[in-house]
Amino acid sequence: MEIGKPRRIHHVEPVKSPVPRREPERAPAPERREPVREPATPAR
Amino acid sequence: MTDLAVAPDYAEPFEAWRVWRVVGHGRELTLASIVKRTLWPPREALAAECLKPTRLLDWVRRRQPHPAPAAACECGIYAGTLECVRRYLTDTLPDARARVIGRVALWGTVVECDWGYRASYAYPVALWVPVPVRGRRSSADDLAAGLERYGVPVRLLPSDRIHAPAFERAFG
Repeated sequence: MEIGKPRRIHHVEPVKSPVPRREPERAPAPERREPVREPATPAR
Repeated sequence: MTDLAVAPDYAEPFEAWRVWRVVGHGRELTLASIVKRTLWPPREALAAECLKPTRLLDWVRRRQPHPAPAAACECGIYAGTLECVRRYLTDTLPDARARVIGRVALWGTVVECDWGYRASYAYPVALWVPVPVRGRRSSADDLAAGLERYGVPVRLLPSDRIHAPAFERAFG
């Protein structure tokens, strides 16, 4: 690529990274489990 | 140009234009340089290295490889003005799947040149996929979808718009 001759040198330190963050990998949805029912206490 | 003073000048990256080749298949498309065989990894800064072939004299003098870019060399990651880069969209060189144009962020050591920059680090900011005026739009859609893994905006651009003054005013 033809961009001509050098003119100046800059030192650039971005405060915020120009690279987008990786999207966090989604954990698989937890298996749905039926709630365990306590056996009803027989009335005395 | 030798021994230029280097000072921390900017806290924001520079931005300029580039044209890339697109290689790969399906949703695993990768940007590649148009001159070198360099691949641009998604979601990772591209770091420059001097790819200039070592000359025999350098080898004899055991000259060490230098950090890129060096003002006295031609190395670094290139980007330039819209006027400067858009002709590479229509070059008729043997090519990959397609070519796309975009803005690129440049940081680290940045050598400012007459019509562009050479930098030590770079990452795309936004990409435009040219849509042939009389072609299939679906292939451009596929390309755009395949480039989404870079995590930057990817838009379609009718090929004739790249030379339109409106595009130049908006983004040039």
